[in-house]
Parts: sequence; C-alpha cells; structure tokens
Amino acid sequence: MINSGKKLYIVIPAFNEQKAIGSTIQSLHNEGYSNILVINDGSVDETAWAAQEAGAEVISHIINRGQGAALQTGIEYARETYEPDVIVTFDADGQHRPEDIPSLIRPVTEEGFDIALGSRFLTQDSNVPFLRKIILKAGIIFTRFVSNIKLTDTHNGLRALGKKAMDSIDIAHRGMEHASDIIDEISRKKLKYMEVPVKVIYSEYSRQKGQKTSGFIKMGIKILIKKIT
Amino acid sequence: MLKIIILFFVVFAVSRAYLRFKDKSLDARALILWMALWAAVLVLVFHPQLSDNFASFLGVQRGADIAFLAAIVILFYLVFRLYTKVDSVDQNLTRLNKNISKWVHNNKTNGDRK
Repeated sequence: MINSGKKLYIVIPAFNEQKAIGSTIQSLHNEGYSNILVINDGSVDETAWAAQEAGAEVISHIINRGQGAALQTGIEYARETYEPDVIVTFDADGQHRPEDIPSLIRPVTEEGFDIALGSRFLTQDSNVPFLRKIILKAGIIFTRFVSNIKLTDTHNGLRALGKKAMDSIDIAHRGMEHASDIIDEISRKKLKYMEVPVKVIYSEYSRQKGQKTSGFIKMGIKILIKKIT
Repeated sequence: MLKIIILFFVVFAVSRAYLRFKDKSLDARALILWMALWAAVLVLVFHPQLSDNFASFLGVQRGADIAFLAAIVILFYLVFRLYTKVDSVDQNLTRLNKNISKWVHNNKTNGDRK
C-alpha cells in the first residue's frame, strides 16, 4: 500500500543480476515498498536465490526469453493474482532510484493518467554517457516516426501502469524492443500518458550490463520488420 | 547434359513435395503451387524460346532476365514466409515459457500455503 491507499506492485525483470538484485530490492524496502515481484528470466547465476533472500517474490522463466517477455509475465501475474492499482516496472541493475517512484505514480493514482513514463532527459541529474545520449535521441526520432508519439525518452524502464494500461498493453516483442511496443500500444489504445523526470544512474556495472550500441541498430531493424509483417 | 541434371533435380523436388503432402505436412494448395513452379522450370529449360516470348510480352529483353527477376521475387516471398513462421513459433515459445513459469510458481506457492 502507498499513502493514497492504492495497492502498488513493483515488477523487476532480471537476467543474470546476482550481483545487483539484492541491493536493488533492499533499496526499495528501505523506501517502504514491500510488494516486489522479480521475474528471473532464465538466469544461469544465483539471481533467483539472491532476490528471494532479499525478500522478493520470484517467478523463474525456464529459459531466457528477454526483458519484454519477463515484463509481460510479471505484469500479467501481478494483475491476475493481486489486482493492484498501480504496477511500477523497475530495472534490476541499480539504474533506477526508489525515490523517483512517488512522483512517477502520482499522475496515475491522483491525476487520472493511464500510464506514466520516466524520462532521464527531463532532468539535468542523469549522467548519460555521450554515445548513449546520441543513440537514445536517435531512438526518440525513430519512435516519433514509427509510433507517431512525441516523447523525450523512449527507452526508460521506469514506468507506472494504471489498471487500464496493465489490462490493455500487450508486449509483442520479447527483447529490448518491448519499450517501443509499449509506446505503440499507448498510441494504438489511446492511453492517457505523461512523462515524469527521473534520474538514471550509470555505474560501471550498469554500463557493462546495458544494451550495446549494435543492439540498438538490430532493435530498429526488428521493429521495422514487425511493422510490415 | 545440364537439361538432364535439371530434370533429375525437378523429379527429386517434386517427389519430396509429394511425400510431404502424403504425410500431411504440406496442404493441397501448396502442393499445386510447387508442382506449377517446377513444371514452369521444366518448360523453360526444354523450350527456352518460350521465355523470350514471355519476356518480350512483359517488356523485358531476354527470357533469362525474366527468369532471374522471377527467382528474386520468389526468394523474397519465401524468406518473408519463413520469417513470419519463425516469428509465430517464437511467440508461441514465449507464451509457453510464461504459462509454465506461472503454473510452476502457483503450484509452489499453493504448496507452501498448505
């Protein structure tokens, strides 16, 4: 429960995040969040054990299917089992800050928005590396062209989904392209959305674990192919 | 000599298509399509002048060019079909993985509650 009396669930997709998942969950506990669901996406390390030890509920995919698939499992399971008012999607690698959650969920819980999307470019605080900034900006232009929706940050994993969004969003891409899927679904299902400034922390660990530059190009090709098939 | 090799290859390809039809992994429509395609190959191999007539009818100079263009179009179509098929299998696999994971988790948590 959060201050407004609404039920909140935090869904964390995780693949080989044994080193970071425990401290990520602990940081959420420290801010008073207890409903944490980790989707262990076929990790080959001790991610599931570490998440359980830290006090999260863990669902394990039997094989690795990608972040989009893990999010779909988590959102669906939380929705069917706990019927929450808000679901927050949160990265496992420590890039997101639990302190940003209250301002992220406010548009959904109090202002009637269906979905709130975190944006690292609405704040000066995020230390986005130069190359990553260029790629992300290119992604924004690409998404504007493909999904016809104007956003300042299209690949931010920190989001808050209200009931309408969690019921209607269907993530078609199982990999990192799911971020564009969600934006597509917002446009297609005419969901009321809002961007909220959030800080993204780039550590040595998150940079190593994060998407490679070539991955973004592949992602664009996959999205385009999916559009024509 | 080349004509005989192509003839053998076509007979082999048609027999493979027929066997796949017999074991129901190919439907009648697809079998007819494959038969027509290989029949067209045989006609063009044994009567190449026909391809020139067809090419001039379409406004292309040589019959060989039209065969080449047709091959590219057919290959593109086959790649497209394969892509959609693979994508559909991939989506089913993701769905299966999700349902198994949820089922295993539900059984485990129900067991723990008991």
